[in-house]
Amino acid sequence: MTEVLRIDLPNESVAHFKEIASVLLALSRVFSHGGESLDKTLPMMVKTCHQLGEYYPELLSMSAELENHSLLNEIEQQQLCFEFNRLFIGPTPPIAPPYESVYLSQDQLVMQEQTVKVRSLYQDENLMVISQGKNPDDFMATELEFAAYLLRNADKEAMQNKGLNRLKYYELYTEFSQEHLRKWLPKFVERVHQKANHPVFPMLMDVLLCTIELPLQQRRNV
Amino acid sequence: MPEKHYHVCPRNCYDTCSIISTTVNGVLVSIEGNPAHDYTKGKLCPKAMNDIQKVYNPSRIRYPMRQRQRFSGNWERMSWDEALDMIAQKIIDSKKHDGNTLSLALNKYSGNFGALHNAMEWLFSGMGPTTRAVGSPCWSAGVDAQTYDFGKFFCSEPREMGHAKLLWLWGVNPAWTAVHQMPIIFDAMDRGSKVICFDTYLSDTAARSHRFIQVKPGTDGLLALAMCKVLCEENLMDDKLYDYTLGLVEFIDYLTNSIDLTEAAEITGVKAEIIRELAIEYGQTCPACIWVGFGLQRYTNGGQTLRAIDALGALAGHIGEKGGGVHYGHFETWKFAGAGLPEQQNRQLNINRFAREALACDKPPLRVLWLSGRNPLAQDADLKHWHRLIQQLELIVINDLFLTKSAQAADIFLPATTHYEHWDLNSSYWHYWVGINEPAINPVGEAKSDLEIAWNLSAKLNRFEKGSCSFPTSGSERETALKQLGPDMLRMLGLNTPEEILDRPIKAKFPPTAWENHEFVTPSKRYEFQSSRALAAGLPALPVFEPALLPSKETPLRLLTPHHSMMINSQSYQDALSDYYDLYINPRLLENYGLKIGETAEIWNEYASLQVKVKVDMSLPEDVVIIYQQAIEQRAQARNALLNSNLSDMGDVAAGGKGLAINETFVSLRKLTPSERSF
Ligand code: SF4
Repeated sequence: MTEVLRIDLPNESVAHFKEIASVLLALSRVFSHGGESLDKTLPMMVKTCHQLGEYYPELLSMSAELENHSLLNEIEQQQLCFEFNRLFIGPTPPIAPPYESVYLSQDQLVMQEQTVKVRSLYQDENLMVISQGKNPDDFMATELEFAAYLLRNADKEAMQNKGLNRLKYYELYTEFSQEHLRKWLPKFVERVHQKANHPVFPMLMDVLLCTIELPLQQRRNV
Repeated sequence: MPEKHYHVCPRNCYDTCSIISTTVNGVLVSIEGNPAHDYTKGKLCPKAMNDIQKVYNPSRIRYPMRQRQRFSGNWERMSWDEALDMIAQKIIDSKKHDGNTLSLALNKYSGNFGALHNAMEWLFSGMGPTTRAVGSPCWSAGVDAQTYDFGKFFCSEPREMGHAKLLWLWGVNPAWTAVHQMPIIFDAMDRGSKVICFDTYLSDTAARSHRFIQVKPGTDGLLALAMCKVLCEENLMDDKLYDYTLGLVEFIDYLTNSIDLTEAAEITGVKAEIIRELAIEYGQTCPACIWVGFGLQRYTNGGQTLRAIDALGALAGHIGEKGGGVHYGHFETWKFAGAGLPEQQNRQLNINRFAREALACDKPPLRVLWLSGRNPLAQDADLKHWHRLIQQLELIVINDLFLTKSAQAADIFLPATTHYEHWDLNSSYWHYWVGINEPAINPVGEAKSDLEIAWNLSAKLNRFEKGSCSFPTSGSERETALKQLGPDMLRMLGLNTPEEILDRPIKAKFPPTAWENHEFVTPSKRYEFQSSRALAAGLPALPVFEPALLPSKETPLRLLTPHHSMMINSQSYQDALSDYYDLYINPRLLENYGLKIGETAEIWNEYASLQVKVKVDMSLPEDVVIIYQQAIEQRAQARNALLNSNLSDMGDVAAGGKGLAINETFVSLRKLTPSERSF
């Protein structure tokens, strides 16, 4: 942490926290709104990816591919929804349950130590999951929304040119990403890559892994 | 701060344990047995020990879901509002179409035995006369048998068994299925009591007993009658029998004229001299107790078997004796107040022949089926009828925790809460405790309790058509649970107000020994060897031996499917599930069929065939094979495909319908060529 504080970050025009946050938020919506709303959430995904792609060309090709798969007729959309539910929701045991603790807890359950840990991170920011206690706090959509929140705040701080203050949210993102997102998402993504029957989902996973890394990449660049 | 909560294990299990859970920050972190409960004594069995894994299992279903085509696996999430709209609309349409509500069917049983799980029944009663699955897949024959003999179904407090000097465990395997009874049995053994286990095979309980008597399946009733005859011959009958029994002379006549010890020995497989020795010991030892297991009555002669064993207990004077008697079960503490809805003239279908009888319904045919606490596609007989029924039905709804075999056939899946997420009130069919079950955590995901589902659907129905359901549309779960303690239950529990049960589980104030003053509640107020009620039900008035079904040449092996130590019916508590069933056979059979241990073989009968891995059990008779119940029907073909719905002889009077004679399933065995083997 002290090391981070000594590093000066790239200025906001290079960081693109806002655009990254938009992609993360769009990804969050994909999971919070579920397979039945992919007709709305996927185009939003594509749009945000496109915007971010202006700065990160690797995302441009991903978003172009995603776009091809987001213009679906009704039957294709329904198939996509069934596949989404098979992968993430159920009722058959889901291939890749979108909860952190399933990947990191000893018994591979929901509502475990990891869930409580992210809850306290949210609390530190005066945030609370609306359905706390019913839906695990480490639900992927919630974690991504929180990541987007951190980056948006980092962006705001950058805009206000607050110097060290600006590092607070970037630092929080780094910490959150290292302690949580980066620990479980690769395992989650791997399952999707192995078992998905529709190309859209591995693509989404590629966008996901790539996007959460972007803010960290910037630090490495520095 | 950790918080503690009371629960009751709601499984279909003898022990109905009292549980204390701990939550931290709204998360369930541990469960333990309640030390203040004199039966549970702070211990739980391994089935409950993985409750947290069950509650927080990522495979648990969190949202209402709709399947576009049955068995397709193509599911969509829907909101509760959409799900209930769809169900309510279908109910209203069916009612309009038929002019009545009989096309709506409920098939509910023991997935969760809590009193508030009757909410589904209340909901259906609120809609009008509907079609119901009645009876029990389990204990019907025995319940009726004891009703004929004693007047009602009741037994002594189970700890009383510890006073017995001689304890017969007859067709029961508590080492696997009633673990809290084992310490009571072991203590009695330590104090010098003798324990004899009667069974078809050497169960874990038999292995821990002083003596094992191997009885041929379906002949236990004859064994009991033969021992009754010995008691008469040896003058070991209670000399006060004339004071409190009915039909003694007729019964003795029957024994004298129709029971022959040599023949009984031949049929039961127990030598005549052993029958005599056992009977004499039973007649001479006080107190002597018999515990009859549920498996014994799962034959076409199951009720007669229970009546014969009751008669043995009565003849020897052990009924009403402290530490004696014939234990089977009871439902005296199940007198819940209900929802106060009027009794409906429902169309009643035997739960064990539900699909078969449902297919025969035409005025009107079944249109909507609601499955609750049931998994018929993994448990019931007549699977082919079930599949035909599924094709005919217009809407199938299931509320459950996980995607069961039966849920794969559903159109709508509604996620249910566990007993850590709702209020309930639970009684045992074995001990006398009644306990409140409190919610410890919020419902997981969008899961709802049965009661809430029932309220919400009633609200929808009434919104669509005013007055279409008289079940309440809202309420308090806690209050509804407490209301189940009506005046009878309060008296029974020695409580002034229902709220007192919130403090701790309470034991009913029954005398610990059943029938201690020989005050029976039969029509004659006596123990009835000769029962007019049995006669009126078309049965022999006396307990008699009626042979069970026997294997045929084509299917020479009797298939028994006892409970596994880690399973309750299709509810599994195993960490790792196998992909196939193990078939236990006698080593001689192995030789006869040219099989090797671990080899894949096939069992089949006229209904289905099933590939199994062969294992050996030295204690099994040569014409009996065993598959322990395992919840692997999602991975392998369900073993119930082999079942036919033969019914037990009794069950219509007190149990609501005859039971399933599941132990009269016969199969053939075949060695497979390597290319035929699936595993
Ligand atoms: S399954 Fe039976 S023994 Fe096990 S905890 Fe539940 S009630 Fe007790």
